[in-house]
Amino acid sequence: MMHYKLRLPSLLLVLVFFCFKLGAQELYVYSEPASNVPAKSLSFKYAGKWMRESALGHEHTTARHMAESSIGLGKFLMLRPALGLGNMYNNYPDQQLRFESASLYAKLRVLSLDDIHKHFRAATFVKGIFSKNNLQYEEITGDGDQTAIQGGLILTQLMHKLAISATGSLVEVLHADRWKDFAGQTFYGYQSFNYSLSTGYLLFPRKYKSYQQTNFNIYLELIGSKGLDRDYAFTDLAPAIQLILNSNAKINAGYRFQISGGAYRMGTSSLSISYERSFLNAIKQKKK
Amino acid sequence: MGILLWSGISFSQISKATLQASGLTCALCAKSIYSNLTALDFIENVDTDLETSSFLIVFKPGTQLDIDAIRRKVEDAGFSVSKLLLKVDQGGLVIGNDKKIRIGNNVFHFIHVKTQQTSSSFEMRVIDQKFLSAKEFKKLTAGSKIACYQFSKSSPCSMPEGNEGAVGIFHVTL
Repeated sequence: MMHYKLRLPSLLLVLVFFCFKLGAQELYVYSEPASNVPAKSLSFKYAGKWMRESALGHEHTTARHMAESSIGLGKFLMLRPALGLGNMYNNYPDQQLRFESASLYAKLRVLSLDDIHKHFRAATFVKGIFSKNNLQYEEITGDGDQTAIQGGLILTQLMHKLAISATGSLVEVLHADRWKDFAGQTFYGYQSFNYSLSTGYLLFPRKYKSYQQTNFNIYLELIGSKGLDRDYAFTDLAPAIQLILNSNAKINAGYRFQISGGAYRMGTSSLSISYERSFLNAIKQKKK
Repeated sequence: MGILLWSGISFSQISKATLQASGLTCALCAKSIYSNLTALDFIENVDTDLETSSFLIVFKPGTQLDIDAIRRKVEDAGFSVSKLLLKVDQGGLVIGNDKKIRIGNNVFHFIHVKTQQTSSSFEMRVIDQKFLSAKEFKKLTAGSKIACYQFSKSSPCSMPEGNEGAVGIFHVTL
């Protein structure tokens, strides 16, 4: 535990140094910025996640495939329904993909201080997740591992191509087991505080000329969780790269791995690949 | 007051505008503003300078200009207007501090301007609250004695007589 406490502040310093040195973008791969998608826009995203599962004794690769749509309902509010398929909670050696989860995420931008090439924004979000998975691990996520409700706050500062974003949220697992007699004797918790600190950097183009230029961004995110009703905490580091094509499509790839602390988790590292296509002005307004 | 200082109707046109948006650095963000602006039916063409987040807007000739709609489109994309310059293609207009002039379908109330006759074409900057940064707005309003252009005062700007058809009234400076 001591080890964990000592390492976290120094890592934060490294991260802050990294983004001051390089400048940043805020279209993070693992977390959400306080900014919303544009009003009346629609986007569709496929996200795949692969993990080496070893927690239950059989080392093998499991997968999760998510389909998401982000909807800009207004300039302050966006919604994101998502569906997940996966085999992460199957009994080994069953590798069949099955429906895993459905979720709805809503983000409300509550503060915007805009200036030339900079902004400070705050947003609150809430996410409801219905999951078919049984409770198997200590780690609590908002990604479809458990039926849960998540709510939190995001603060994002963009300043002359430098962006830092911090997210803090509470996750409450609402699985039926929580209210059964044996709930107190299991090794899973039902409440966690999840957080992230994210930064990114636009590598190319060095100078913007047109919307057709391919942008290449690199990201570094610190993602952690602390059990509130069980004593565990871990921190992951997640470097990621992103290509933005034609100012409307994103290709993301990231690798997330545990760097400190620990918990009973399915795995301590995972690979994510995603593709997202945005359609601006896709939701037509009624003519006045 | 407004009527006394009213200098007469002029139907000269605004052909172009330069808009600078704030709160963004990425091309993806600029694209959402670009796409929103081009959806307006009185805008013919938009050119972007991605480095400065600026948009050069060309208006369709003879159309009604809705200045607030331009601002709303930028805000819908998730950003703010920090500068809007309107290019007026008519010289010989007599402008001055606290003068109101109709140009096209809008009335413009000039602030911080010495009395002068405009040259063949000129640019004026919209200086209402949502068209510039909070800091600039505070600075500009602090130096103005005109009641309808003072920080934290919401007394409406009176429309001069004979402008019943005008769609909006905006504070501008050179």
